[in-house]
Amino acid sequence: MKKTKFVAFLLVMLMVLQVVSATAFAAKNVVVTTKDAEEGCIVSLEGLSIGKGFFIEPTFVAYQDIMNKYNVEKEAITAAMATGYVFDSLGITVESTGDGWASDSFYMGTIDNIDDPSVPAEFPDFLMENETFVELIESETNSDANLGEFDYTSSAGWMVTVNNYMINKGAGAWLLVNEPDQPADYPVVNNIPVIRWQFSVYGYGADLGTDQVWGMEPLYAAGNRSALYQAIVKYKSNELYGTNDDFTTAIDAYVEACKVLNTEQADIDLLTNQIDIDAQQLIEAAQGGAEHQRVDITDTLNATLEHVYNLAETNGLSVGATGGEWAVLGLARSEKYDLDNAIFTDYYTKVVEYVNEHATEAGKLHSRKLTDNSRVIIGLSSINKDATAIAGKNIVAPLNVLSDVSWQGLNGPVYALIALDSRNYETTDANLRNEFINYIVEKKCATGGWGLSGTKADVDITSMTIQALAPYYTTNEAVKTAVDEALVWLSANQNDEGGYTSWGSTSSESISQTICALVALGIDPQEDERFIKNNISLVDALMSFYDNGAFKHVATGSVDGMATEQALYTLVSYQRMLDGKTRLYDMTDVMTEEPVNPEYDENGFLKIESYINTPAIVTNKAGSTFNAQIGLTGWDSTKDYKLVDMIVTVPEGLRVTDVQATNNLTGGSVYYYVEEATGKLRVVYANLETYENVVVNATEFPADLFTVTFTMDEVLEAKTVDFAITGMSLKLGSDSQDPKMIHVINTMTDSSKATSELKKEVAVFAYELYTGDGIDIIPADKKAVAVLVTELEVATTITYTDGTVLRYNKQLSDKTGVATYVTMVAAETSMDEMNKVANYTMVAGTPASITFGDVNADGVINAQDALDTVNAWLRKTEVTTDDTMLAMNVNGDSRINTYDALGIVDNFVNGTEFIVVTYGARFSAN
Amino acid sequence: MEQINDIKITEQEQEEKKKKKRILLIILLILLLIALGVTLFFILRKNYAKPTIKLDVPSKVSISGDREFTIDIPLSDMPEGVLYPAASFSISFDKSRLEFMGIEEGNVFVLADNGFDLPNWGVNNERSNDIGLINIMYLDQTAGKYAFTSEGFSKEDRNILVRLKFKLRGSVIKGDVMNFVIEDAVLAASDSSQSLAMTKNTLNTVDGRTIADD
Repeated sequence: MKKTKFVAFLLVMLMVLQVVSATAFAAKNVVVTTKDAEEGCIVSLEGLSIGKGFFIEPTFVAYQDIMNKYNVEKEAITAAMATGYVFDSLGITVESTGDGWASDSFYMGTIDNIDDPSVPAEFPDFLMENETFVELIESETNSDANLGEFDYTSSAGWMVTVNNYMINKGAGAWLLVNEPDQPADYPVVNNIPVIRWQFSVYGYGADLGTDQVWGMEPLYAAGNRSALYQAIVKYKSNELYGTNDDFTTAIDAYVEACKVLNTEQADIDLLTNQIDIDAQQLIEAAQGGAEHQRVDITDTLNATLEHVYNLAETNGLSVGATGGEWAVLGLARSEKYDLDNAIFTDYYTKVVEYVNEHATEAGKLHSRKLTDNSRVIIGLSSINKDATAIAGKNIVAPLNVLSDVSWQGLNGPVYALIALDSRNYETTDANLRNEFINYIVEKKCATGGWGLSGTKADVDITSMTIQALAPYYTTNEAVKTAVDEALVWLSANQNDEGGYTSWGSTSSESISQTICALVALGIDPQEDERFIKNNISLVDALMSFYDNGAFKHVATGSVDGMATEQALYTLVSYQRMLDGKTRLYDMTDVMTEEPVNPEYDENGFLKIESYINTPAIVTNKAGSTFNAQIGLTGWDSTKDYKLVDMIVTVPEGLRVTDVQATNNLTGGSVYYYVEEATGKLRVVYANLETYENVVVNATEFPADLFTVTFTMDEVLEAKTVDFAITGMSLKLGSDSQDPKMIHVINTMTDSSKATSELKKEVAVFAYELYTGDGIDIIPADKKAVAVLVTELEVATTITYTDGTVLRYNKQLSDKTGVATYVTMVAAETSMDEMNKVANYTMVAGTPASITFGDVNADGVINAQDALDTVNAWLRKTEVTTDDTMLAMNVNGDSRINTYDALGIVDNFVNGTEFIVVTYGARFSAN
Repeated sequence: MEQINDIKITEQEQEEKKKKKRILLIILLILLLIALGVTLFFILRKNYAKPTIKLDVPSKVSISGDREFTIDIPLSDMPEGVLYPAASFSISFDKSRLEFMGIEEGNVFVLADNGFDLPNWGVNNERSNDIGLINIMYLDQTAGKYAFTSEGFSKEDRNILVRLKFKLRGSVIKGDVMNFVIEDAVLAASDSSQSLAMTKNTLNTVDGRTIADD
């Protein structure tokens, strides 16, 4: 007899044959006894090795019932008796040796009518990969419905384990209570023995991973399923099972998961934990009133704001990881404090000092750690400060190089992306944001989250990364996939107390960051069940660290500055979401270009000012003309103004020849009159036909409203002429007795006065329009200059001493009323020298000219010019001449980009004056 | 006699020479005319081959009824293989007789993320009525991703870029003539040498006029 056959024979001797009269092959699913409080055991009958799942799913049987059936004491109950009770209850018969279930010589042989012979076996993959096993297979189908020794393979038969221990004697002799032969590590989970009858097809239990008797090495280490089976039994006995679809489906899913033969212990533990969570949530949901109770964060938020604000008032805020940008972020984004509050303005002053002291020429605040730049940019954005021009430095610029940013790890590009998006900062490369996003997505760990470096995910880094990617979640499929996986990971790693353990400790900061991540995606952390564990939400967990206006880093410690500031902006971000406001890091809401509604003083006077600008120099000869620009520093767009009126002092010798409203003012027409006796110009702007409202539609202030043209009738003796707005008001109605009908503009300011020098000879006044910053097309070593020239008799070509030929500009000339030329010169060119007429050569002749917006110089501003500007910014074409740069930069800032293209569109369609012209004329005043 | 005969022979020779000269002159003249014709043919063909935008103005507009009418702006052709990411038109009209009501969609498409879409033109009705000039512009800020292309242009159909809607003002009486003039038009390509532009003489334009009628 071969060795295997001999061993099989021994096995057979241990398995008792018995005839069973069961008629169905489906898993038996009868709960014999369900009372949790009762003592008892669990029995299952499994065909996992042949892919047939459970013949009897884990079933509880009470000791008392067994004692009654077999008339024995509890201490005498055997594994066979418990099995017999279940089998008998289900009508399952077996072929066995010994004198029935109560016999101490009971050995299971074949179980009758339990296996459907029409269904072939599906051996697990790990067995089919074992060549020795494959050779043992005699048939993939059973010859009849009985299942026992030698079915399918020559070494097949029933094996039994109690508490994951393959018992070393017959089931009829194995006591469930105080078994004398139980090993030292016999694991009785919850004092409920679990008896698993499993069909083995290889190695007399080697395929079950639990052979401890026959000397064959198990193919793997079987996990102990006792706790999991107990949970399944418990929830299958719940009244919701079979009556509540969600609950039933959920529990059945765990039963299905148990049908995998070689599940490892770690996965079994995971299933065991999760079944409790899922079942409890479904039970609570079914019970209705047991839902998670929301926490109102209002009081906590207000107290924390007050705490941090008081600290800021006392100590000031400065550049730094604590007591700096994160506090600024929380306080500013709460919108509880005006952005002109001293804590913010003082902070800004300190930032300027810090940048002066620490920033490199390139704008780096630290030689390698560019999160310093990102953090300061975020702080500045939150108080509506442009970080591209701080103390003459552009601290955004260093973020344009991915390799520099990512040097310190993943948090480099994560915070760089947040900083860039905080104020929609432009990047030198239009694709830079995509590069950042791709880099970040690719760094995701296989487990589902992100880590600072390497492959180990971390809660804080994962949550910060989600915050950075949140703006792209709905538009970028790769981002959505990565973030969704990260959310699963975050949910799975949340602990039973609703928090997280990161960097070796359970900290409030990890909770804060996760809340921020969820909120950035629009997920309410108090509603999403994935993040409520044991009825404890992330917000509940964060509150457990709260202490009188501040937060602790760890629950057992004391309050901590960093923990408090992170909790503050976390609560602020959550409140913003609840209030329907923009995301914490989306600061575009404070960048609004809507007209600022001015405040009123106690007399009802508007707290806005008028201004008048006239050219610094004007030609002093009969017939010469020039223009003054008159405007306001604000406008109350909520009021229904019927007219604007003003009084301007006209210098002796000058005559008003025209008054025009600019495009900023609509709804009415200009009416004016100069009183000869006083020399006062009186102007009214109103719609006298329909009395409709007059409206200022400017999006930026100060805004020019009127252009007044003055003409000189004779040469004047004076060296200067002085102008002043002596009165200006906005009227809401005609009732002069009602003070509420008039809003008086404050004209008692220096800006309401202007002076122009009278020049009888050729004179120049040069002023800077802008200087390039080297980022977008305009080199940092070049600046644009405008030059007013008086007393030009005829068309004149003007050349500066360095050989630069100036370009005549009709737009500025028309605006100021004085011939104006423009040019690009080296940035270091002295404006003092450019203001000396002796440094220019002037020759009669038609000068070269440029027109702002006419990029291709074809005499027409149209779509080609806008497209050429876009192409230049996209670097599809190269801008090779200063003239093209001057024509393209219609916004008059330090670079050429799509804003200029839009400026051209706006000018073409709406007639909006180019900013370079508006400001060019404004700068032309002394 | 011999002298007389010699003289007669000389006269005949001279006559024949003159005759030959005339024939040669006629041939040269014919050749010159042929060359001129061929040249004119190519010039005119080139000119007529240029795409044209036209103001399709109804010949008459009734002063009774709602007094509204629409001007289609069709484009005759669009070269293949060229992207036109921007386009603009400046069209003047008599603002004292007409109120510009706005634009309506045409049927020439631009590229879109998932195929084609109608372009989103920019226009300012109020300003147009203020200055008597309608400035319409489309700009694809990606310079190509959302451009006009021959793929969005059907050679079989009448390709209307955009429609202009007008209303006669109350002062208009029967017999009033109203002119519409394309002051500038361009379908701009990134390589401006491929643009269809009035300023470059690569785009023909046809203006329009209408007469107020009963």
